[in-house]
Amino acid sequence: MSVPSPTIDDLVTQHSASMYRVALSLMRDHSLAEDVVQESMMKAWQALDGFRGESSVKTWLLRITHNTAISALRKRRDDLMSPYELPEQATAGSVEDEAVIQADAHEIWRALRQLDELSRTIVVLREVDQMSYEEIADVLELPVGTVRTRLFRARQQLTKATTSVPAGGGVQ
Amino acid sequence: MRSESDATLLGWLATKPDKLERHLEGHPDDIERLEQLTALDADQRDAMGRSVSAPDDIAERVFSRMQLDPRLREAGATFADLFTLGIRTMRVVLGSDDEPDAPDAPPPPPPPRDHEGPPT
Repeated sequence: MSVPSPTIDDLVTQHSASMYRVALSLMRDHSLAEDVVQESMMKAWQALDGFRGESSVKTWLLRITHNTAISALRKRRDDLMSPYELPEQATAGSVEDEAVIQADAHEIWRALRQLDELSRTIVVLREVDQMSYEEIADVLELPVGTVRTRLFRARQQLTKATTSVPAGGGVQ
Repeated sequence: MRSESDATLLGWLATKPDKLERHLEGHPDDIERLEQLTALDADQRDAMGRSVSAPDDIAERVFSRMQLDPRLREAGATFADLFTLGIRTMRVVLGSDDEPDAPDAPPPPPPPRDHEGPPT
């Protein structure tokens, strides 16, 4: 018996939040992250008939989101360098400027933004979305070993960064 | 093949990630040790979750933005079918008591997210 295809309703209600986290980890800006989720969902809607279930719907959507965000970053920065090597660039409305994030979340965000964009995405997919290494490798189209090593290294850097910030020094 | 010490594994992690990646392929025990050595604590994971959290109304916001997308408008014949749940959800969010509108009359988008609001 074949599994019924998901509807766009299903995709939006079940996966928008995960897509948003991936987009935010790359774009570092709420408004741009929403733009990426919208564009990714439109692409998913247009490609839904061709979705053959070779990966999970979530993995498929997050891969579209990741690729859309990378394209957006390339366009935005107008640069031919690898997006993973591009310099950090703060923008108006960026996450670190917002008062809505509590101090400890602000501190970990400051540590996250010190990571390269690929490592940041891996950490978020693993630690927040609790995806397996195989699923993350599928989303990012990387070898599992690379995902694992990047994650270990990113965790180590996060712990070092968050334990070396003096008390009260998390918000500028 | 033998396992390496914690210091060696952490040293490779910091300076020779390619070497570490090759080593781990044949050493599942060392993978498990690195999992433990680098694990984030619950507070860190919780803070990270909040730092990248989506707005509570993200699904409604995405529905609303998609309904205004010209590519979807071009496919107007399927509009109502695609977004029945979205439209119903929007009605609940907006507190509308009106009868359902025609498919080409979506509800207005929600107000912009309050970036200055208190943490939830």
